[in-house]
This record gives sequence, structure tokens and C-alpha cells, in this order.
Amino acid sequence: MSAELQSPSIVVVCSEQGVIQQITRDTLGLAGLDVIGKSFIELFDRGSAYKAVEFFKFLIRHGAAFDWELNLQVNGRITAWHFVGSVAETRCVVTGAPSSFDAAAQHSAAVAVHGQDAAAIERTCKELALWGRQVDAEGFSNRYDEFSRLNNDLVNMQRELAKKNAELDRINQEKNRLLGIVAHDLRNPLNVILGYHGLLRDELADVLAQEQREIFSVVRSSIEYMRQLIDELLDFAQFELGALQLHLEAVDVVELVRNTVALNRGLANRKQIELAFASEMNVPAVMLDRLKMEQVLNNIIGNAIKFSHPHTRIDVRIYTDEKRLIIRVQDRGQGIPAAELERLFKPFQKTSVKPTAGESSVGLGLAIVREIVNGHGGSIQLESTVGKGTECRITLPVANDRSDSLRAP
Amino acid sequence: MDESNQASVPGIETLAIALTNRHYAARPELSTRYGAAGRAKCLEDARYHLDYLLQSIQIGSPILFTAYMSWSKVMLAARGIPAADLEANLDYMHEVLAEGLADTEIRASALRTIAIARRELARLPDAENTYLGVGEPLADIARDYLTALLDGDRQRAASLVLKEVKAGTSVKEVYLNVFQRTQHEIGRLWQINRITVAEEHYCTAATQLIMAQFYPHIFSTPKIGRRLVAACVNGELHEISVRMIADFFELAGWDTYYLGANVPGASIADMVLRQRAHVVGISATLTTNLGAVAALIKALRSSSSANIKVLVGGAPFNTDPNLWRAVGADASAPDAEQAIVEANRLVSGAGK
Repeated sequence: MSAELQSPSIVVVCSEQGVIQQITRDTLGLAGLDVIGKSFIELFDRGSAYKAVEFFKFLIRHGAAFDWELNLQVNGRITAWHFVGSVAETRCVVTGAPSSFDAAAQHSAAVAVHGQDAAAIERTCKELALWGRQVDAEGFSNRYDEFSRLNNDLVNMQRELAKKNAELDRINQEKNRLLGIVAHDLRNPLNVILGYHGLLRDELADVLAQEQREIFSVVRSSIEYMRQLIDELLDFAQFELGALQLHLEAVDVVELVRNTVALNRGLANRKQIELAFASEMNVPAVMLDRLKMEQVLNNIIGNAIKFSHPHTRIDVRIYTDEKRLIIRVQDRGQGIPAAELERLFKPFQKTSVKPTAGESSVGLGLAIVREIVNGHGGSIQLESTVGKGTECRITLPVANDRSDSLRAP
Repeated sequence: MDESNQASVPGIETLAIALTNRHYAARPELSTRYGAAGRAKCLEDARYHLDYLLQSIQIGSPILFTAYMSWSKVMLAARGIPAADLEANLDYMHEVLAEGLADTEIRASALRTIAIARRELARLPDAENTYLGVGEPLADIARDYLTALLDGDRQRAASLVLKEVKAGTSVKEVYLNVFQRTQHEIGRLWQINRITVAEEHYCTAATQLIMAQFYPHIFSTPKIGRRLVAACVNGELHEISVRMIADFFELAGWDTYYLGANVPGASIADMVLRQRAHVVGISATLTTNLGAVAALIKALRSSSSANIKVLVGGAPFNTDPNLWRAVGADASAPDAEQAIVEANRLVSGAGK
């Protein structure tokens, strides 16, 4: 042991935070460097500080660290030494020497001096040193190959999943493209049918019996339903393909909403529903696609009428809130169960609540509405209480700083 | 490991012990300076030196041994071992092999290879420059990315590159200038003793995970009907570069089947056959795995996939641009872009 004690080494006692408290062995001349009270990490070359921090973290976490090679920097000279450390209560003893063997030997001697169980430390060091050989004996090579295989399988699975996802995306796009083509090709003959239907009905108006007139009426409402379905399918296919095109212009929203309310008033009147409109003063113009926003308003107000009972009232109101403009449509209808609210924005989803006058619904309207509102940088919320009614709020940004990022025509 | 031809080189252990004994006999002060552990380390190094030497001789490429010595010089300098020790070790190796190798042809090659490395060693630098030098494309991003990884913050690293791609930088540029360059830098930092093996592995694993976030982009490229099987040869664990190659081929419209690290030759051959691959890409980073590359290609040539086009790559093939011939391949490429050019050329039937 005496020969070992003469060999070069340092023994540093630190706090658990790595602050040097004492140097008990020092053949490098640390004493002259005023390191007491400084961080242990500062003893090392700046470039290997990461590694020194890892050493210290490992030491604290496991109570002992064996044979870490670190670059000491003393008086401008960099020396690569091996380090061994152990923790007893709240103190860490770290020993450095030119070889792992010397570091371990010096450390055993040092911790004995510091009252730690030297035999236990020595045992730990030996165990750590022997570990590699034991693993070898147990077939390290097999486990290593198995580990490689496992890792390869994981990576391949990830790649295959990504490939399948890309393929699914492609198929989905193709589906939407076909949907668009089919809907487009159906619309043209439907318009012809609708035209001839009107012609025949007018020409035969005088000779048709009541029952025949009713048949004409059923045919017409069926054709109109099909046309609505096709129009919505076309819109939907377009949005899914990312082809929402907005033609933005400065729009007087109060005028736009007032006109839309007026157009829907006939529908409301037929069901003896009062459709009221109010707006706060000085509402600023907003950059909107006028036709698309009309489509949104028609859908929301139309839904309110569809699901309201006669002799109730629907309020449409415009107000502003800081940099936002809010259009609120509030009915006193049947309301929608809470569990169905979010689902209604998904394609082909309908509420379990039935329209009060047997009106038809495709189930694409709200999905389209949300696409358009989002495309304007806005949002749409539904709040509803069954038996009391539903409130729909469309929020649009007034300061139109999204105009640059909107998809251009 | 059965495919590596380590087993066919007799007496490496005997030669390594003789070399260590010779070194310690000539430098008795080393015993007191480094102790028993130092001697064990010297023996371990001797095994590596001789393994690299014999692989270089067998493959007929002395420059590979010189490159390995150049790497060792930098690695040892960072651990306080002076270049003189390495030079002395080469001199002792020369003496030991002059006496210990019976086969005159192998002996002559070994001594010539050692002499070349010994002559070059003095001229070779003992430090390697950073791969993240100012002025390189995306250098700032690459440095921030590496710092994030060394801080153990892979989320920050990922968001840096994802933001870069969102801002218009191509995935290819990120691969080449951020991932590839930081991987080289991580290797250098370990070489100069600045980071631990654990940190090196963390950075690599994090980069592999981050690369996967680009998959939706990579795998949506329209296909051109060509298929690549890519893998690291048996024993080779450095897989990130061949994964990058596979991703580049995907971006170029190839269907790729990436098998990963340390893949047994039989699995590669089986996949080539099953996928009716046009090209197989084989990667080896360590010179000591070249034997396995040669053995695999030989096995492929005598199988029912005899006409498969073989593209090889990795550090030894960059060091020696003609090495691909020696292992029986059809071509090699220094980077992913060139690999695609070579693969398309091979499949189109143009000769080299």
C-alpha cells in the first residue's frame, strides 16, 4: 500500500452538490489553486465538463462510480485520469489516478481514512469490474444479437407504419377526388330533371288532379334534397382535398347578416317562428368571402328554424369583443344532448333530435361550416341545453392579420 | 460473427501478448505509471491494432490501417497518451511481426503496411477539426441541435429541425447538414474524450427518433418501381448512416426495405430474394467488418440472387475509393445523393 500511496493521485471530498470541501491527497498541486468551495466540475477541461457532470450524477444516483476517464485541467495542462467515487452520508469522496487500478486502490485507502466501509467499496469496484466478464460468460453475444434484432424490428415497424399511413393518405385523397367527380357529374342531369319538372308542372297545371299535384311536389322536394346533398358533397370533397378557396373582400357584416336573416324570415314565418336581428353600433368591416359566409349563416339560421317549435323566437345578434367579431344565433328549440355536440361537426353525423316539421338534413352542413369559419381564422362553438334551446357563436378576427396565410384563389 | 474472417487469422491473441510484452520490456516505467490496469488496456489496444492491420492486409488496402492509426493518435492524445507511445508501439509491432509471422507473403504485406503508417503518423495531426465549423450550411442549427441533445433535451432538438423544415428547408438538407454532421461531431467528441459512450448513444438514439418524425414526408413520394434492401453487415452497429441512405432512396421514389444494424448475412440474402430487390446496399463503418461484407457478397453471388446489384458504403470505402472492387461489390458511394446516382446507373445497366 505504501508504494501505491506514493503514486500520483488526488482525493477530493465534496458535498452532494459537488462543492469541494477538502482535498486529502494531492500530487497535482491543487492546494495552490484555491479550489475549496468551488465546484468539482471546475477541475476539468471545459470540453469534458459534460462528462464530468455525468460522472457526478451517476455517483449521486448509484452511491458509487467506478473507472470514469476524465480530462483534468490543472495549471493549463490537461491530464486524462481514471476516477472512482463513493458517497457516505452527505459526503462524496472522489479519487483520481492515471490508471483505473491505481484509482481503485487509492480510493479504498482514502475511504478507510474517511470512515467509510473500505471493504464494501472495494467489493463494489470489483463487482463492477467483474460484471463485464460475468455477462460474457452468460452469453453476452446472444443477448447483443437479440437486442440488435429487437431494435431493428422496432425501427422497421415504425417505417412500415409510416408507409401505411402515407398509403392511407393517398387513398383518402383519391376517394375525395372521385367523390368530387361523381357529385359534379350527378349535378348536371339533376338540373335538367329539375328544369323539365318545372316545365311539365306548369304546362299541366290546369289538368292535374290534386293527387297528381302532390306527386309533383314530392318529386320536386326529392330533387332539391338530392341537389343539396350533391352540393354539400362537392364542398366537402373540395375541403378534404385542401382546396378551400376564399375570395376575400371588406364586407359590412351587419348588412350581410341582416340580409341573410331577411331571406330566412319567410321560412321562419311559415313555422310561425319569430326571427329577430340586432347589432351593436360601429361594427367594423371584416375581410370575408361573402358567398361562403352567406352559406355559413344560412346553414346556422336554417338549423335553428328546423329544430325550433312554432311560436318561439330566434335571436341573431352581432357584437364585438376586443379584436373579435361575434355572430350569435340563439334559439329556444329542442336543444341537443351534450354528448352529440362535438360529433355534429364531423361529416355525416346527425343529432338524434328530429326537425320539428320533418325537414331533411344531409349531415355535412356543420362540417362545411366549420371548415369555412376556420379558413377565415375564426372559430365556431355550440352550446345547448335539452328542452331550452341552442346557442351558436361564430367568432371572426376583426384585425385581419391572417389574410396573408389564407389559401389564395 | 461467423461471417467475419477474424477466425481465419491465426494467432492474433499470441501476437498481441507478444507485442504488449515487447512494449513493456522496452518501457519498464509504464508498469509503475499505469499499473496492471494499464497493461490490460495496452493488450486490448494491441488486439485492435493487429485486427485492423490484418484486415487491411487481407483486403489489400494499407491506407485503411493508416487511417485507423490517425484516428487512434487523436483518441489517445485526448487521453494523455503521447504520439511517441503510439509510434513506439508501431515499431514494436514491426519487430514482433517480423519474427512471429511465418507466412512470407503476409509478413511482407504486414511490414510494408506498418512502415507506411509509421511514416505517415508523424505527419498526421493529433487533433481533428470540428464538423460544425462556421460557414457550413445550417451550421447554427446544427450547433444548437447538438447542444440540445447534449443537454438531454430531445424535444428542443426536434422542434429546432421541424421548425426549419416548416420554414422551407428540405428534409434532405436537414439530414445532410444537421443529422449527418452532428453524428460525425458526436463521434469526434467521444474520440477526444469530451463525452461518454452513454451520451453518444443517447444523441444517436434521439436523432433516430427525430428522423422518424419526417417519415410522413419521406414516405409520401410517388414510387418509380425500383426496390432497395439496405442493412448493416453482421457485427456492424453504426446504423444511422444506412438508415439515412434508405430514407434518401425513399425520397427518390424507391421502395426500400431497411433491415437495420448487425444483420446476419442469411437475413439480408433472404430479404433480397423475397422483395425481388434491384439493389442491395451494405454498410460497414469499422474496417474490422470488411471481411463480413466480402463474405456476404460472395454468398449473394452464389445464390439465386446472383445478379443483384451490390452497393457498399461506410467509412473504409470513403478512405479507399477502390475498396468496393476488393469486397466484390458493383460500386460504392461517398454519400446518399451519390448512392442514388450509382444505384440508378447500375439498374439501368450502364457499366463502370
